[in-house]
Amino acid sequence: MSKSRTIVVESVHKSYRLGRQDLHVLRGVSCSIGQGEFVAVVGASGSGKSTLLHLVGLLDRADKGCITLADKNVMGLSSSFRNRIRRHEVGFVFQFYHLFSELNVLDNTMLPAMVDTSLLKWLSRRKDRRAKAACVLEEVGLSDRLKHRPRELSGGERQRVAIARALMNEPSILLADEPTGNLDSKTGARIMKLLKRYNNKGQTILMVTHDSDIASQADRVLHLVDGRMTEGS
Amino acid sequence: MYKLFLCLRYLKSRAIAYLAIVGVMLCVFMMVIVISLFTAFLDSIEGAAKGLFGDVIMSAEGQHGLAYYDEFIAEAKKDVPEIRAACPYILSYGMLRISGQEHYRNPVQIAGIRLPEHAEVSAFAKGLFVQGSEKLTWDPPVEDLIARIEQERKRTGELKSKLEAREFDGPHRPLEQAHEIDRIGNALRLQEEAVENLRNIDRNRAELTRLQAQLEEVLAEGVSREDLEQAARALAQARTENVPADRIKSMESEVEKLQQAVMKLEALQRQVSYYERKTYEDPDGRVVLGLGIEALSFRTDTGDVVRLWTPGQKVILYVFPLGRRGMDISALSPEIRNFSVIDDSRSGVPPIDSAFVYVPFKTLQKLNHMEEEYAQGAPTRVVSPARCSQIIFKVQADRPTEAELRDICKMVQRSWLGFTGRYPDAAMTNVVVETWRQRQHELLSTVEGQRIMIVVVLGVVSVVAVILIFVILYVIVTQKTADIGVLKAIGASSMGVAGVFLMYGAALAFVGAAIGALLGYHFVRNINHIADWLAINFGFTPFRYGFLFDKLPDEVQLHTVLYIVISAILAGIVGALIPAIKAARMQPVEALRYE
Repeated sequence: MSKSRTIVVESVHKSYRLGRQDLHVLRGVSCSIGQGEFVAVVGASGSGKSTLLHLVGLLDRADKGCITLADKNVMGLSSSFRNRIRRHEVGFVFQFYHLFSELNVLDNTMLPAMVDTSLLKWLSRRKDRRAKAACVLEEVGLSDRLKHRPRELSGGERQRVAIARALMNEPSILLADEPTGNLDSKTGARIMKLLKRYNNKGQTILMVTHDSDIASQADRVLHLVDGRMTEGS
Repeated sequence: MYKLFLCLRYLKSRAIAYLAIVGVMLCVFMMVIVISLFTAFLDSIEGAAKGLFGDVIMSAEGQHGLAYYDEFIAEAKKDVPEIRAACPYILSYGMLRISGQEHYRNPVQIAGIRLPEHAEVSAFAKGLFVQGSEKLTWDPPVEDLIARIEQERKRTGELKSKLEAREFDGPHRPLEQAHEIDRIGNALRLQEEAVENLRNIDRNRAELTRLQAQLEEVLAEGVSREDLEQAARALAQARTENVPADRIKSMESEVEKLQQAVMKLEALQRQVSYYERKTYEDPDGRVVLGLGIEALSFRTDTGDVVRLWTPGQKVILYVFPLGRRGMDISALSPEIRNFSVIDDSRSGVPPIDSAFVYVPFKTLQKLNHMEEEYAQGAPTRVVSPARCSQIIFKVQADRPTEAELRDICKMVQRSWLGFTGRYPDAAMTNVVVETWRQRQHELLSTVEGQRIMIVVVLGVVSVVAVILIFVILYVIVTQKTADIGVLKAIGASSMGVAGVFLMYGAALAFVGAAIGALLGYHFVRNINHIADWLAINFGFTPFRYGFLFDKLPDEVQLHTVLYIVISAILAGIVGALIPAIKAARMQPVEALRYE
C-alpha cells in the first residue's frame, strides 16, 4: 500500500555567505517522505543535514527548488502562514534540547500549546492543556518529574521533555536534529526506542544524524554527500 | 498567552532583573520625593508671591509717586467693575536698628500700608502672628498682645525643654545643642521682657483711667484755683475791715477747705499728666516686622520658629526719604524714628520676609515727604498733593486667569488716561499697570528656573532608567538567544517574540515603580520625622531654608504618583524596544546555533 507523501523536497538549493565566499550547502536536493514514515538523513559534518531539516521545518528559506508539506507548497508562503504551519504541523527535537531553564518540565511541555492560543482561550482551556501535557509526559516516562527544572534532569530525561514538547500540538511531522548526539549510547538507544514507538503509532519522523547505527533503526536512510542526496537501505 | 507567561517566569527567576527593578525603584523613589517636595515648595512660593501685592499693581515710574490716589481709586472702581478693592501703598528703603545694640543694623524695605484696607487686597492678614484677618488695626488691644506672647513663651519653653531632654552622648552634637539652648533661653528672656513692657503699659493705662475718673469727680465739684484766690482775697479784705470775728473765722475755714481741694485737684492733674505721658504710644509709630529679619527670629534644627523680638519691644527705623519733586537733596537726610512692634508677618516668600517691615501709610508718607504740602500762610491751599508709590487692586474673581488680569490692566490704564484729563498734575506721572505675575517676574522666573531644573534632572533620571533597562534587557536577550530560536521554532511570530521582551521591560519597570512609589510615599509622609532625626543626630538641615514652611510638606498627590509609575512603565518599554527588535529580527536558525 503506497503511503501519501507528507514531505516532498524537489531540487532544493541553499547557500550561505561566509565572509566573502558563498557556501553552497544544498545542491539540488530532492526526496519525499510518506505519512507515518521514519526517515533518517545521514551525512558527514557540514554535509547540509541540519540545513535540510531547517528548510523542511520552515525555519529557513531555500534559494531555489520546491518544498511541499502535506500537499501544500510552502515556498512562497508569508511569515504568518509559515508560523502557523510550524505551530500545527511541525515538531522540533534538538541535539541540545533547548529547554527553557526558567520553566519546569510541565511548563516546557505546555509552551507550544500556549503559543497557539490567546490569554482568554488559555484560561478556559488551561486544565485540558495541562492534562494533555501531563499525558504526553507520562508517555515519555516523566510523570514523576513534572515540577522539576531542566537542570535537575539527566540528558536523556531532558531529551524526553524535548520530545514531549515537540509532540504537544500533535504535529504531522516530527523533525529531530541529532536527537541522540548529546547522549551516551544506552540513553540514545532509549530515545530511539521512544521515537520508534511514536512512529509505530503513525507519527512521521524525519531525523538527522551522523551515526549510522542510529540511522539504521529508521525505515529508510537518505545519504547527504556534498549537498546531494542519495538513498540507501 | 506565552508572552505573559514567559515574562512572569523571567521576572521571577532572572537575578539580573532585580538590578533593573532596584534601578527603577530608586529612580521612582527619588522622583516621588523630589516632585512632591518641590511642587509644594514652588507652589507655596508662587502662592505667596500672588498674595503679596493683590492681583493688579499700578506703579509710578520714578521715585516721586502717584498723586490723587484716593480720587483715582474711586474713579477706577466706577470705570472697572471687575475691581473689588484697592488701596495705596508706599515702598521705601531704610535701616533697622535696636536701641542699646550698637552693632545691630539691618537694611530693610519699608512698606507703608493702610489697615485694614491692605488686608482686603493682599494676603497680608493671613501671615500675621497676633492679629487675625478680622478687625485688623495698628492699635491692637494690649491684652491680645500679652495673650499671644504668653502662648509663644509657653511654646518656646517647651522647645527648650525638648532640646534639653535630648541626650548629649553618642553621635549627638553637644556644642550645637548647648548653643541652641542658650539662644532659646535668650528668646525667653526677651519675650518675658516684652510681656513686662506690655503689662506696664496696661497697668499705667488702668492707673490713668482711675486718676482721670477721680479728676472728673473733683472737677465736677467745681473747685478751681480762681475760687481759692477769690476767697483768699475776700478774707484779706475782711481782715482790714471791721468784720465780726466769727465771720472771719468762717471765711478762714472756707479758704482752708478750698486750699485742700485745689491741692488735691492739682496733684491729680499732675498725676494724670504724668501717666498720660507715660502711657502715650504714638498711634502712627507702630511697626509690623517681617518674620525672617536677621537676628530677630531664628529656626531651630527641627524647623521650629523662635521669636526674639516680639510685640512689646521697640525698634528704630532710619528712613531714606524719597522726597517730592523739586526738593533739594540736602533736605533728604535720613529720618530717624522709634516704632513699637505690634506684630510680625510671614508672607511665605523668604526674600520678602527677611527684608520687609510694615508701618502706617500716613507715617511713611510723612517720613518720605510725600504728604500734602500747603501754601505758606494759606493752610487750606494745597501746592503739592499727597502721593503714594503704588495702588494695589484686588479683582472680583477668586481665581482670575493671567489673560483676564491683563485685560483688567488695560482697563485700569484707560481709566487713568481719562482721570489725568481732569487732574493735570497726575498727567505728569507715567504709570505702569501690571499683573501680579508680571510684577513678580524676577521671583517667579527663579521659581520657573527651578521647575525647569527639576524637569531636566528628572529627565536625566528617566534616561538613566531607560538605559539601565536597555542594558539589562540587551544582556538578557543575548543570554536568551537560543530560547528565542526555540520560540520561533514552535511557531511564535517575530512580533510575539518582541512582545515577550517589551512586556518584560514593562513588568520590570512596573515592579520597580510600584516599590519605589510605595517607599517614596511613606518617605514623604514621614519626612518631618526623618528631617528631625537627621537634624538632631547629624546637624543636617537641608530643607530648613528661610521661613517658608513650619514643617516640610508631607502631602503626596496620588495622581502625580500615578503619572510617575506610568512614565516609568513607558520608560521600561522604551528601554526594552531595541532588545525586543533585536529578538524579533533574530533568524531562528542562527539563534538555535547560539551557544
